[in-house]
Amino acid sequence: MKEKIIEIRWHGRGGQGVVTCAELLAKAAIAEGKYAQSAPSFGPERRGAPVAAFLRISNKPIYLRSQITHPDIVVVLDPTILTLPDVTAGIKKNAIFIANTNKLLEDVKYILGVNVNLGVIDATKIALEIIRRPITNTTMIGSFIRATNIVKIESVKQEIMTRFPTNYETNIKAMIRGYDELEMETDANRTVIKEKKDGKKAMPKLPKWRELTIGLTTKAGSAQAYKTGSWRSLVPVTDATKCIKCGICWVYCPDSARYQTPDGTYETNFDYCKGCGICARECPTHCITMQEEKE
Amino acid sequence: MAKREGIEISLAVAEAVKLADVDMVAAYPITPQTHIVEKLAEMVADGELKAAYINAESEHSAISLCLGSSIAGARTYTATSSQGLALMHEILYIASALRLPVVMTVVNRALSGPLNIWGDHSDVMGERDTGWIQFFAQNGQEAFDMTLQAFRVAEDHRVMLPVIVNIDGFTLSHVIEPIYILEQNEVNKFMKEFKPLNALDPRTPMTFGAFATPEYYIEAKKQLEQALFSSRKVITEVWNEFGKLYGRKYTPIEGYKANDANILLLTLGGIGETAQTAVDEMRDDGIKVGLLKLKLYRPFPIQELRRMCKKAKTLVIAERAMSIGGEGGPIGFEVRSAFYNEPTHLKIHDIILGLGGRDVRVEDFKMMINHALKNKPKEYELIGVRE
Repeated sequence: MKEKIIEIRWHGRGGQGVVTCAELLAKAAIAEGKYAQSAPSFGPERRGAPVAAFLRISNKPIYLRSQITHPDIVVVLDPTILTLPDVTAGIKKNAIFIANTNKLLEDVKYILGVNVNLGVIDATKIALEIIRRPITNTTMIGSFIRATNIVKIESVKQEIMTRFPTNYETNIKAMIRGYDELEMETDANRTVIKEKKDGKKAMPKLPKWRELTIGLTTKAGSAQAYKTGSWRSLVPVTDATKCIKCGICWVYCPDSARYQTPDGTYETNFDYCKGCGICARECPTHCITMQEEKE
Repeated sequence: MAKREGIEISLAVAEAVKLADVDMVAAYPITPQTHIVEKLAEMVADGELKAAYINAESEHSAISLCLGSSIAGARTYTATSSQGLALMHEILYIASALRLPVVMTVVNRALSGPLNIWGDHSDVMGERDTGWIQFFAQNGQEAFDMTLQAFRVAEDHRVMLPVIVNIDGFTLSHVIEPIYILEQNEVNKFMKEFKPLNALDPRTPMTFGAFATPEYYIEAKKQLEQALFSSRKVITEVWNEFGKLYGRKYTPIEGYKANDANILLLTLGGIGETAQTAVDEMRDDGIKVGLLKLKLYRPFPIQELRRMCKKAKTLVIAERAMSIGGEGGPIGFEVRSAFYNEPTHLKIHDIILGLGGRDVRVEDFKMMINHALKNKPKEYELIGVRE
């Protein structure tokens, strides 16, 4: 009989610990004597950009090196990417789907448009309370263990202690709260929705080779269409009364997202600001402070 | 009227570059390419050639300058050899991917080590997969003609690819022989104005060299591959037009006494003419031997090769490069692959010779033919080694 390999896909934004989730669980499963494999989706990932990681767990050796296109389980660490088609792409029928969100379970199901076996948890709130930063990975690991029961919580504790020798206590606390507070559908209270076309949102259509421009030469400034403002979790707030119009923030901003206003002071273009905080760090009069992004 | 002149082949190439009225030359001198670029520098300094000449600090910089200049819409030329070509390696892929019609003469020289300045094809075989069109000249006239043809092919909007013209180091580059040097007004009938597809211009900003994710990379490579394959048609057109204008005919593979031959030799570059003399002498002895001279290496003329080998029983490849640890030479691999799925009983001998400037003589070809007539082919044979 073919041994079942459980395939788990993790989604989030760069810096939230998506890859760490897959790594810690893989190590915990391996320590339990299972076979496991974790892999990031390699690419030009930066803090805030949507990223994915892959995790396979099995009782037999795993002979696969490809990306996970038909996951049994999907975990989403960031509430703002639940609308992206990537999170439900190729998902198996009745797959387990765990979302970090402060929305109601039914509402999330309609957003996803797929009849998954859904679990929701407000991991951002828990992480802010315990870790004081919106890094949700260990909280989501707790919810994952609760929903799937594939790996023991004790084994993951060990891995967290090895990985975070100075701050494992808060991370373990966050994991336990993630475990305890997950709201999961049961067979009794399942919401069944009318699925969207093919049960999945359409992925963008890519051009055929004949449709590419010669030598891939394109119009200049195409990055303008790529608005990266949604990557932000912290937002720069400028106190114009303290601004001395030196332009240092404009020089240092890696995304050219600072601009000069008619009165000579500087403001942020929120379409492109990723919330990296370099402007706040470089400003000689400290007129910029980084604050939590609100919806 | 074209002038018949006793001229060093390197200088004839420089004349061709001048006649092509290039806008920019960037190069770093290296033996045995030096005479070409020295002459061009002199022409620019004397005001004979109205072009920018940049003596770069390395070949890597030279070819990079060529890319920039070609993107800006200038007709661009460079030349190099051996280590210089190897130093250009990574940029060569970018030139073809950006579809820039840079023309380069590679004066073929062995790669170090051991350090060796003499001719073989090991340098350019390392650039086999870079996406450049490649010609091989067998004499000074071809070196001159192909340099002009290269610009026409490269700049054709159906092609837009860089071109390498290969000439053997020393045994061609430093040889003085009679060459018909065309007059400027004659060349003007052949050359066309270079119109870039997208010139870099501050008034119409464009993005060149954007990166491609896994979702795009294969499609980009497919586009390049198809461009290289489709260039065959344009190469043939340009060669036909050249033949009509000046009476010298070019084909991807030139056959010499090949039609009725039982046994065929295959050569690249200058050793083709020595092989021709060997064929003549062996024909006098009653051996039905013929010769194929590969003039177009990329895109590889696989159909012509299959057609021209149809009647022969044996093919003897004489090549000046080896793939160490790979049981043969690069031409041997490619030619054998061309026949592998074909209904043929062609016996293919892959002979590697003339490495690092070791002389290749008429007797070597005679020995190879006699050997091939009597023996079964091995994977390859490296000849001329003192055992």
